[in-house]
Amino acid sequence: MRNTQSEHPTTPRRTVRFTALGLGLAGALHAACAQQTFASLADLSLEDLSNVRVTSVTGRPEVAQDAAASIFVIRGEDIRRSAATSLPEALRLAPNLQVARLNAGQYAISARGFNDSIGNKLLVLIDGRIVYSPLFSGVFWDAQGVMLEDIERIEVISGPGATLWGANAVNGVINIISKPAGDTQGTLVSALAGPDGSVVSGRYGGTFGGSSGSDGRFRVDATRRTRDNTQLRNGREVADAGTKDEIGMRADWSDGSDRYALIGNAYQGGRSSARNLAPEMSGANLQGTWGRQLSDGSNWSLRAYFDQARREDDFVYHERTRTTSVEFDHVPVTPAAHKVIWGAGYRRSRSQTDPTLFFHFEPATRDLNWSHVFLQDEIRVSDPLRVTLGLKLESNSYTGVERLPTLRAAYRLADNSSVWAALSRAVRAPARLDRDFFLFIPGFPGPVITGGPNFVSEVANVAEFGYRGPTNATLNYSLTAFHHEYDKLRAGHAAPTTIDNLAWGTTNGLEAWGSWRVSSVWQLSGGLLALNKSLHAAASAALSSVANLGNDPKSQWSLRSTSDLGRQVTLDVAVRHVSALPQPAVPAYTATDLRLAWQASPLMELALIVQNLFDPGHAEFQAPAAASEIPRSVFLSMRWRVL
Amino acid sequence: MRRRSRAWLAAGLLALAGGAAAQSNAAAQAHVATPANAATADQVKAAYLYRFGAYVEWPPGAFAQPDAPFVLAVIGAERVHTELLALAAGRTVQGHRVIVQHLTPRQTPIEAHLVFLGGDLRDDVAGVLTTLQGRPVLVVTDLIEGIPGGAMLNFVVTTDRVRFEASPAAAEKAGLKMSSRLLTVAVRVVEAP
Repeated sequence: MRNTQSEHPTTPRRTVRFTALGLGLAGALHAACAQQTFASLADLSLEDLSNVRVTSVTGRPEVAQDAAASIFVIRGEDIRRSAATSLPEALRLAPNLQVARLNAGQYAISARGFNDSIGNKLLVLIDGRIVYSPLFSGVFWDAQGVMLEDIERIEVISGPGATLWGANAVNGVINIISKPAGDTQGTLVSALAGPDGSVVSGRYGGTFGGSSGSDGRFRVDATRRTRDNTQLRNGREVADAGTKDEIGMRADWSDGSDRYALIGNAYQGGRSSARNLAPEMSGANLQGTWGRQLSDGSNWSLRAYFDQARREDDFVYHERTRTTSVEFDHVPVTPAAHKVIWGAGYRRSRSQTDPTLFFHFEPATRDLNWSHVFLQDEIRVSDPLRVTLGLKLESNSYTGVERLPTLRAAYRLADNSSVWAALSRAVRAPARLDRDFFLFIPGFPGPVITGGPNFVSEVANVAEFGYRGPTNATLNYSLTAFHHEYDKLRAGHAAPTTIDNLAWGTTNGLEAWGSWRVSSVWQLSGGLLALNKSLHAAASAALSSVANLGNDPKSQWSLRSTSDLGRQVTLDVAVRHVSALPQPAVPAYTATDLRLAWQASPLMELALIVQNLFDPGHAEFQAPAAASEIPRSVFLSMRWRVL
Repeated sequence: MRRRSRAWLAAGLLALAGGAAAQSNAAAQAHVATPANAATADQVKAAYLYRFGAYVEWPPGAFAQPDAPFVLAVIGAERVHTELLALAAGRTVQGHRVIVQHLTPRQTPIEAHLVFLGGDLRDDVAGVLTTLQGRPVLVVTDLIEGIPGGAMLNFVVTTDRVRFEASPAAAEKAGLKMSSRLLTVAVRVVEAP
């Protein structure tokens, strides 16, 4: 594994990137001329050197800062320094996401609007594994456990990513990438606790197979999370407390130009199937990847996984899903002006449901299949101009083959800033909640809502335009304007409702973010979102049709200060403001999170975390009278690397 | 009104954080621009070898005179040596002019302050470490067996980054002291072998 690329120093795929440490925008910066490298590498600090990217293993290109898309990268280091105690809280670091907490463990997360607790236009992957439920094409955020210390980075792409990632990547993609086992060696104990809950994790990383020359590294980790009940505004307790246990493992090894990884996770949690806000859940998944980097610069990777998830909720979803997936990506040798990637994949899920008080699925068990092929070519038309053409064909069990094309262009200006534009078509394919679904309300004779046999994919045609300021160590910023035209949005006929595609409309908006490194020890970063939705439903549609398409703020801003107070103490403060939500009406709120940490010794860090510092509590998504107040929370945290 | 005062409080806190950071800035090192260039793992390793010198304390006797050079010896690892020559030319470590030597496993790097043993020297490591035992020489390896074998620092190439593991105990045995900053960046800190 080591030095593999040094043996072939002239191959074009050896393009290597640096991560801009300390920049909120941190993305990979592209190489222009390699000659200066020597001199400047010697000036990097140890921390910077440890973040220099030297090669990439998978065929899938890494999102780069110069990509023609709206991309924000949350680095593991950003998460470690933030007040986040869970994956959804870490996602608040991305200015291009809307993250609303519903109660102790549940969240509504979206990009570019359409946020909903059954939000379905965002594709979420953990190490390449799709984590959305085929029941509703959305994510059960309370079931996704990741040890935060294991996260290498989270790539958040707002806007369509359908060509590379597939259907459902209509409004965005969240790509969570865990650290390779070699980066998590030794023992780590991490614990945080406060009146509202606790997270305790342990991790051990070691080596195997050293004598055979295969350089294997592995880690195992375990986490227990507990959350106490939240409260309504009137002080009444909400029964959403729960405990969740998670275990994870990862092994990475190599053999010549071949690299292998085995990643597994399992979890069990919740409180009781009689508690809709903390239902019983469990799951396990195992994934293997095999990648080969050839000396001619081409590479390929093969990924297969098995995933099982069970959720037992007596009111809505009582289900078990088993998914098997295989996919192959290949970057072939091409003329220098082209960067081609193509791939194919097949995924199969068996979704088994049991009827609950409100939800029935008919048939109760259904096998769903998806298969895809895609091809993307990034063409360097001239030195400053790059054009990317891509097409994905993806088939699903409900609507057959969907076409997902994209056309992107990026132009680098003389001052090294760049402008980019993109046109894409993305679809949200039907899920079981659209087709096989029956909603019963006790007291009503028949189903109140019925899945629609005629429901087809929701379609978005998207135009985006962006500007990215010149990359430098002090100031970085990015602006994106977008226009989405939606057709065939999910809306049903008036009562008794049959689900259909009776709504359409447009959204326009702006995404802006930037970071300013004021000094070597102080950085400010900020983000701004503005969204204007104009959605319509047919006269025959149910009255709540447009409201059901998401409850979104018109604007959102965030500001974050990251500072080192001397050699051992760091202080991070993050303020976010979310404007009022229309229906149900939720007032605007401003929340301030703080983390003050002391590196007591090279091996131990102690920290004080305060979420909602100036706010005793606020609702984030549901009507305030009936919503859990998201309270001020205080945690003490300790991270200890054991010798 | 309440909400507004909260926003001001938040703004005040941000300013406070920044002010405090600015205060401590004076003591901190000068800011370094991150280059946007290409690098190979060998270049990064060479840069580390040069930078390690600033984060380790050598005993007073390690330098014969105040103006004695800082000697970096590379054994094997031809490419890392080439990169290091280019990278360290004209530079200093803790005020000492840097000299880069390239040795074979049979040569004894007695004058060196830092010795790097390339990954292609699996069978020679033990011998070199025995020769250097007790001398104030920082031994860096590029081998999974490096630290268990007595090295003080060892490179770990992960999927796409070059990191290192550290054994402060091994350094102490040789009379060297690793700074806490070095240990903080280390991907793993290992107890005495």
